[in-house]
Amino acid sequence: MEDDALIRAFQSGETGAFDHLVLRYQDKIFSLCYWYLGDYHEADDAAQDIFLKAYSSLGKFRRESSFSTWLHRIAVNTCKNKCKSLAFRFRKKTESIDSYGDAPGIEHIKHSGSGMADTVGSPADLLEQKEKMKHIRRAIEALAPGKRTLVVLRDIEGLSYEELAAVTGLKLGTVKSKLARARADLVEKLRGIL
Amino acid sequence: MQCDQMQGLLSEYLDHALDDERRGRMDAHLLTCAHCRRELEALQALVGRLNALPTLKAPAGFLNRIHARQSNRFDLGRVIKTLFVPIRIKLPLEFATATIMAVLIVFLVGIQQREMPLSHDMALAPAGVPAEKKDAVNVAIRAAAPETVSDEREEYAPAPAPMALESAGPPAPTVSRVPAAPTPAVRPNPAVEAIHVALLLKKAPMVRAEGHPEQASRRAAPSVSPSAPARQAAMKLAEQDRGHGDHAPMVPDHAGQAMGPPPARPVEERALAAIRKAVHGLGGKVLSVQYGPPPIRARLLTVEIPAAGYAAFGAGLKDMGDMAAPLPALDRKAGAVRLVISLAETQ
Repeated sequence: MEDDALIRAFQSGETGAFDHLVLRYQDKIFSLCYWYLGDYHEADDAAQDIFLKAYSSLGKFRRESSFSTWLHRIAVNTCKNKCKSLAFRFRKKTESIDSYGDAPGIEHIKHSGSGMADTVGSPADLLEQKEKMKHIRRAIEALAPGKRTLVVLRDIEGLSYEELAAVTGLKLGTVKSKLARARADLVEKLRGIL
Repeated sequence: MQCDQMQGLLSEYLDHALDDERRGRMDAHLLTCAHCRRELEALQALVGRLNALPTLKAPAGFLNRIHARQSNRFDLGRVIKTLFVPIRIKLPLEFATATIMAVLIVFLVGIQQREMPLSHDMALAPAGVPAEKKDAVNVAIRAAAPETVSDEREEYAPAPAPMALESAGPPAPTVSRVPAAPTPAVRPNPAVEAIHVALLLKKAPMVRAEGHPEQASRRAAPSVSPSAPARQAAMKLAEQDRGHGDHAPMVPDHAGQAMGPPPARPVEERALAAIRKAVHGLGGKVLSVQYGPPPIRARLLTVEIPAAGYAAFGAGLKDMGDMAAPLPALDRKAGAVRLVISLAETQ
């Protein structure tokens, strides 16, 4: 069933339709949260928050944009707010003191059966890939929130420029230039690693 | 085109987001610029690596946890919604202001109207006056300049200093009624014992000097200041009782002695006024006055006085007339005592 049909069903009182939407988008939203926040558990909490917000607001959803864009907009705003929270910053600080330890997310990637982990052969290669992943994650986290949003949505989540503009509320030209600067920053941060 | 400009377009070039003209210029530049080619390769490596990152799977039981949080959240949400109902109608500011002003005015007018009957009743005739006389008093008071409620209240305040009953000159008849106005507000104390007294009033005037009604009214309540409407009402009513000015105008002399003839008042009226004055002088209250059929004949008074003033009050009553039975002795000096006084005129 299409998103639109599920939304109509939800708005007509069939709340169970929302479960289908959750199942359809949970991985995308969780992944976005993970790469934005850089923490598996924080991403889990944030993703739940996002769907709860969507649940409470879906009744007023007027289809001025697609559900996917609307949900991503909620996700980006939730992640931004979470980054600003004092508790989150404190946890990140203590995590960095703990030598940026192995996050569950990394293990999950390793066993996920896709991406880089598939190409890893020996334990040494696996360790090297794991280290690269950590560096990439750190480099993304080090970006300013606006740039981070664009990199994650475009290069990890695969959204188009138009979708980026719709999610972030920026003009298309601003999206392009800002994304170019974000990528250039990442290239500088990861030079010699990739 | 300079390298700086070209490097700003590398991201779009990589995403195939450049138009044909700019794409052609970029192709031409990359053929000749090794630095920009290296930058493009680094960018391609980064984007390739990021694109290769897997989409993570949500943790197991994600949907169940959302359901669990939903149930907790919406319990609290329901309580909040119950407490704080949001306004769904958007009102223009002018309309909202007008509505608030209207409500405020209605509220204030409502308060004023609740206060007005009370002050009105206080300003007019007392409750103990029969209906036909009450109208006359009311008309007289209205005809005089109406004053504020506070003036009337001052008029009804009891005299602070106790006074001997025999020294009280009989006040003008109408004024004697005015201090009875607070009677409806008096809350009789049910715990106070009641002593019944039957008083046979003497026919002879017990007043040594009857003066002008205004003077009499002043003497009747020396410690209070009757308001102008009440005084004028008393004078008018007194004149009506005397036959609408049949008598010569009474002008008090400088010594406060009456120059005119004394008004012909029933003996009960004078006794009633004297008792009231004595009660107030002792710091007591006149709880009720019952009248007989017209003409006005006060029949039954219920008063409450401090026990300390009981003996003096009894002596005063004896001076007024004969008692059917002597007053019982009171063995205490504290608290209050209630007397029910039946008035009758000796034949």
